[in-house]
Amino acid sequence: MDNLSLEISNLYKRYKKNVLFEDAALSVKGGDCIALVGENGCGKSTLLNMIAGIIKCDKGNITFNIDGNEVPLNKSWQYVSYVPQHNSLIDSLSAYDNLLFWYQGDKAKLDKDLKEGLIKELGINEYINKRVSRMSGGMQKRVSIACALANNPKILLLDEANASLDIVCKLQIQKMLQKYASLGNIVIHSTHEEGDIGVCNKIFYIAGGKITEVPVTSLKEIFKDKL
Amino acid sequence: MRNGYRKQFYKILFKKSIREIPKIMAVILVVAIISAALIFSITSIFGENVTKINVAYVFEEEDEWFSVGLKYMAKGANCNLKKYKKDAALRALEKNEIAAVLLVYNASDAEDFNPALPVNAVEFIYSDNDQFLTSMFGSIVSAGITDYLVLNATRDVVKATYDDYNRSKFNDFEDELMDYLIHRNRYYERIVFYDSGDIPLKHYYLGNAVALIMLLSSSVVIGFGKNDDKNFIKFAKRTGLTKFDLFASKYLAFIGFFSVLTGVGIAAFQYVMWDEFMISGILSSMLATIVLLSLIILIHEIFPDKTVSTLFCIFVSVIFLFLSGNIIPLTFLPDQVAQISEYILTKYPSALYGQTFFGRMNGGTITSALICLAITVVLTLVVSFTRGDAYENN
Repeated sequence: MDNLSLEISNLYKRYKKNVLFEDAALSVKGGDCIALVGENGCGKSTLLNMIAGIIKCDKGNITFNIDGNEVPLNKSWQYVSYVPQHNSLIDSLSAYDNLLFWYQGDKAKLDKDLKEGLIKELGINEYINKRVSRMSGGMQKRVSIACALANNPKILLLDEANASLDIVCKLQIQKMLQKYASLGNIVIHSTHEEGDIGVCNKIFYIAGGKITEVPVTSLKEIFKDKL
Repeated sequence: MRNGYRKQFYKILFKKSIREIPKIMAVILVVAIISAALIFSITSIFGENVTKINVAYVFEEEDEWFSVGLKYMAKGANCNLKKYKKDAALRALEKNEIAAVLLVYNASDAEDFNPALPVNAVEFIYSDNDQFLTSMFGSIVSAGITDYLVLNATRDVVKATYDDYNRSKFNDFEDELMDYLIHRNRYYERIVFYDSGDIPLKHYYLGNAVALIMLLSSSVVIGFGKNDDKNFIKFAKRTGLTKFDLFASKYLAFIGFFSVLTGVGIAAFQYVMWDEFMISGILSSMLATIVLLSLIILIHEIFPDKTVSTLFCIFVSVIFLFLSGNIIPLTFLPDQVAQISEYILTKYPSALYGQTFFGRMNGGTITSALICLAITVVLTLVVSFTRGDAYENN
């Protein structure tokens, strides 16, 4: 789909003494479901944080284009949602209350989405009134994803969303992500899971400060030089 | 669009605060029990010493009613009173055998002095009109404590004198006087201590106990959810929530809860004690809570880590309370501590709590408390805006 794209060019980012990105580039368009792979500490989470606008890059450009119009970075939050590695929910509140914040208090819209929207497929209805602190890790992850989808974002960023989840939960999330990308949106998933690679149509490998597209294959194949 | 997030953010914080109430109440209960035990022990220790001091009384000229009163006064628990000749009393004072001398004059010549109203005598003492009674202090205990004892002793005299009046069944008492007789404790406390700006020891300790409970329980409570929410805050900020929102939310959710709790507590206290509410007292106690808790917020802002900031808050609270005379009265501490106490934030809020129990406030204490509040708020703003908020630094 050509009406949505994310372009990253000449990206530089240093963290303390480590150079994470050096003249790195990435290009993604609507409908892409991409996987970011790389060793621990290579900068996957940092890249997602920069795309989400949570941290700034030292140098370089990150631009979004929607219907041919460039979206300024300070407006990007409206189009980009982020599911962090550690949940960003308020533990003492219920899933419903957490969702209500991201729906800006619009109960009618939230109730409608829970009944027939994309978040219905996350299967959170059965514990919607349960306090987050009493939920399992998988339940919390689903609620986090639902929160990220509240604003109908064009770009969904996930940081190891499937880590430590049971197989049923993983498959449900993967299915939902595939469907979401098929609607013309972009999914960028930082992952170490073989199953996640399978649902992505592009894989980007981060190493030595560069982001390189690699053929869709197994993780073992990608990391064969390291093994 | 962003206003929707902001509105919802404040709603969420309110709901979150409500959910925390059982936890907060449990903490307050535990802290209250510990504080009560501490205050009770200290009161017993120092109260014992205080009540054992010797005070001499000297009559310049014998007076029928005060002779009667002083008989009762001598039986009082506040001090050991003994009648002296003036010269002997002054010598005893010099040798530190007694803590103070009360010189009782014949007040019949005093302007506007109505001997039928002994409460006037007490007012005379505090209006620097020494035509009735003069106190001289020795070096055994400080003027402050002796002053308090003298007041208590004088109160005993006043009460005793009135009791005798009452028993003699005079028929020409005015209604106002009868009202005074019935409510004399309350009347006495309000007039004398309010006007003097001083507070009786029991209220002093009560005020300190409230301050101690507030500081220690809030130190623990503010840590609830601090680190749990940092991820939420990090992402919520993307929606346009500003540093000011985060700053304001802490004040609204945390201080709002505790100040309302204080107001309700003081109102209940007033109702039980006096069958009425005194709004000024309730508002002042809430101000005291706001001042104390703004200090706690400042410390939590400086130290982003929950454990470090909670421990530091407790440490600072105890040190501040000690230096401001909340744990052991300043009278019993070195003069240097008394000098330092003038600059300690906790002094004025705890004095406010103490005064609150009279239902009448001293304007100077309120002003000092407001200045303390302004200082902590400005410092918190400076820390928040220069270092970034605590969550960001985690």
